[in-house]
Amino acid sequence: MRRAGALLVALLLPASAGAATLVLDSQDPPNVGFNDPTPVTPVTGNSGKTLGEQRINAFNAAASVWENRIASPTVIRVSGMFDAQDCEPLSGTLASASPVLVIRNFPGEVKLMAWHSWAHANAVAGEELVPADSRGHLQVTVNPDVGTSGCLTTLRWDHRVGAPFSGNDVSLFNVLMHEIGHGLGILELIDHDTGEKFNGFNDIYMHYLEDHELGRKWPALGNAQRLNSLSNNQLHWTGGTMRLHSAKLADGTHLGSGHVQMYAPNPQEGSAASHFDTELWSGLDELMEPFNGPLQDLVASHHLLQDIGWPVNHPTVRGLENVDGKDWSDIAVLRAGGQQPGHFLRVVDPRKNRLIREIELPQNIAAVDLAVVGDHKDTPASELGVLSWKAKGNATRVYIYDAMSGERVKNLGFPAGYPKSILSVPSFGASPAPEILVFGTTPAGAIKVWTKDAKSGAFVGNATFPKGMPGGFAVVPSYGGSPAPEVAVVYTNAQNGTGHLHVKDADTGANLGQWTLPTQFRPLFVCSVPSFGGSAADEVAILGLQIPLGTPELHVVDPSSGDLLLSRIFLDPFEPRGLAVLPDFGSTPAAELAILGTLTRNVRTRILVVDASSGTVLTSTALPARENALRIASVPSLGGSSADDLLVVSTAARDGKLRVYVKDGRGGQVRGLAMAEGD
Amino acid sequence: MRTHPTRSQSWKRHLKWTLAVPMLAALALATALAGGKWPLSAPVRAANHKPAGTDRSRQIAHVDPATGQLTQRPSQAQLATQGAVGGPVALNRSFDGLVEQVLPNGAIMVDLENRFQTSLVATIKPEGGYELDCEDDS
Repeated sequence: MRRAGALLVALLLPASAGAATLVLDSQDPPNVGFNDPTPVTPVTGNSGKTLGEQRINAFNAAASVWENRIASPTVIRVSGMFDAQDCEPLSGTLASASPVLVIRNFPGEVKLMAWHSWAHANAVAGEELVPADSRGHLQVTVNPDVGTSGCLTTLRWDHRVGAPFSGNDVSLFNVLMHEIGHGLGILELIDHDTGEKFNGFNDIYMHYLEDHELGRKWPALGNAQRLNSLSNNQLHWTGGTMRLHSAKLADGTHLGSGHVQMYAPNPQEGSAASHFDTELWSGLDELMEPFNGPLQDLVASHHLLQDIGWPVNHPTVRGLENVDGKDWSDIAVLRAGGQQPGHFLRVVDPRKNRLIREIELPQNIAAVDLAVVGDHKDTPASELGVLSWKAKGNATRVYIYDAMSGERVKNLGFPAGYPKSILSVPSFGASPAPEILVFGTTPAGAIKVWTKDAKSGAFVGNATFPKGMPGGFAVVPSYGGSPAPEVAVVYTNAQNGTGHLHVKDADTGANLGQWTLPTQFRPLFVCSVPSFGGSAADEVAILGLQIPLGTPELHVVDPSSGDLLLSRIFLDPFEPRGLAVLPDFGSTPAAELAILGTLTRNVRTRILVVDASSGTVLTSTALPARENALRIASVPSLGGSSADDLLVVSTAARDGKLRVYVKDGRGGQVRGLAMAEGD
Repeated sequence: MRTHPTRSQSWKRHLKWTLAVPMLAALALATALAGGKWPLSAPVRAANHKPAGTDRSRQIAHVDPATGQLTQRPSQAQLATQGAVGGPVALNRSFDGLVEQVLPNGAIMVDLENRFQTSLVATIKPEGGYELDCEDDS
């Protein structure tokens, strides 16, 4: 193997700015690797005109995917080089990676005395912990010889970005994404011959690994037990964030616990434990499976990183009233998972994409969701509620800001756990202030909806649901007798694996109905729909997956009677990303439903609007290619037309930017608003 | 595009849907509703399906350099020994020889010295195409 000698050329090439910044620190000498001047023709998603430029572009695109998922106040340097790897004509190494250092006993460490990868430790500590060391925090080496006579002869590197690969093309973009994931800390450090811990101490990753056969986590196992669990096919990921979201995975989840299966084949293989099981399926292939298919997603990897304490991003968008009195109504955009840069809550005029207000957020929080809270401050503007979480202690808080002034007006603590989403409703408690509802799980796995008064912070409701895999929750106008609205929660029951719709009164927690959903249907998203079924109660729309086929299904239910009003099965599989309701504009009196999904066959994201009573598809709109759409919300017309609008928040593999797409709910083109970085 | 307008007429409170919805699903599939661009009536992907070239049946052959015979995967100790005589030092998950250093702020760091690498390995299949396998050093 050729070893890179002295650092002849160092390129500091920032990938597109996200909430973290990864830079390539090239170790290649001139005219080699990232500096190769060989002219090439631009390809899909990669406009480089030399081989070196295309390699750099592929790196930057792969880095931008991670930058939009994680946050770090310090720049993450990646030592990258093209250097020969072990390779033969029929089999060989494409690329390899690792952290350069591991660190423990640093300020703020997520688990005491646990080894963290260097980049991870810096992100948690909020500073560069080894300032005198100028090496990259992680290193990635790519094999330049692929496709030559002695090395994987028939293969060739594919420099397209975001395009499905096939045949004998190997996507450099995908390979780099996977390897960077390991370098960021998706790996354990035990000795695979003895099971011994790394110099006698736990690493942060192993804290969340469990030998399910023994029912014990890795830190508590003996060396022989730990070694055995590398190959007993009973290795589980137990992190709370993963359990909160594991319902999305059509396979590889453990129903009773929501744990996710990790790769632990018999006989033991080198890739055990540091990858998800190969049968994990999130609609697309999971990037951190040991065997990668052409279409990949980071759903599980994202939650794994949050579990081990990486500050992560969950970008969110909501509609507001016209805060600045100009042009259209305004929107609020949240992207926060750590510290500046890229950590923001902004109020934006969507017509001209003009920043109205930048709101300063606390440092070192993972902002999970955003709600518009009815005004209870002496300004005309609404308040914004930011649901946040910290890995250390599972601390859950809601920070409330005035949308016009940006002033923080309240800071509400909630019980420790794993929060998933937040809603706000008009007061039903003693004070006139609106209520804040937080949906999540306790550390023990019970599903909860906690409700607090937005002004006093007093608890005004506490609804508990059985253990299981949470889907979502919605607020339904009261039909149960008390003036408080009802909370409708969908989840997959831990005991029998069936999906349930469970309705409780928001303040008393009284049970108003518990309905078993169709067989093998796993609910993921829920929203309330104005009544069209005959009863006084509004309906509930539920979007989820049929297990094990993984086909998306939409069901509409009257929560007061349990009547199933609609079942719609989608035959072209897509990964559901969100659900919103629009006022009726179709031929039936029922409202419309907007579904956000990423098609499995081509990774293109579409917004599908269907009639809630007939299931008829009214409009279908594609987002631009290589967009990773994350959430959808409906809002009263922002001003472009009389119809309600749809907002989709998305990050792009092609340029790494966070965008909000605005679309007239009745059709027409989508308009993308790029959120400027670092201003 | 096919639509599937099924509305329950007589379902009562507490009624379980365990039988009804699979029937609805079958009906939807059988009637093959059409129209519009999405969703399409494409074949349903089986949950355990993996795209071609991603099965995990790949086995790595290890040849004993002394006998030339196929053998089992070498242990880390063996790999470390190979590294000591000029083999790939990076193929190593051993802590042996690594040193803990105390930083000024009291934190403890260890330089991994190129160990604990993960490698993405491609293998060309006889029928064409290739498969990938990500391996940790071991």
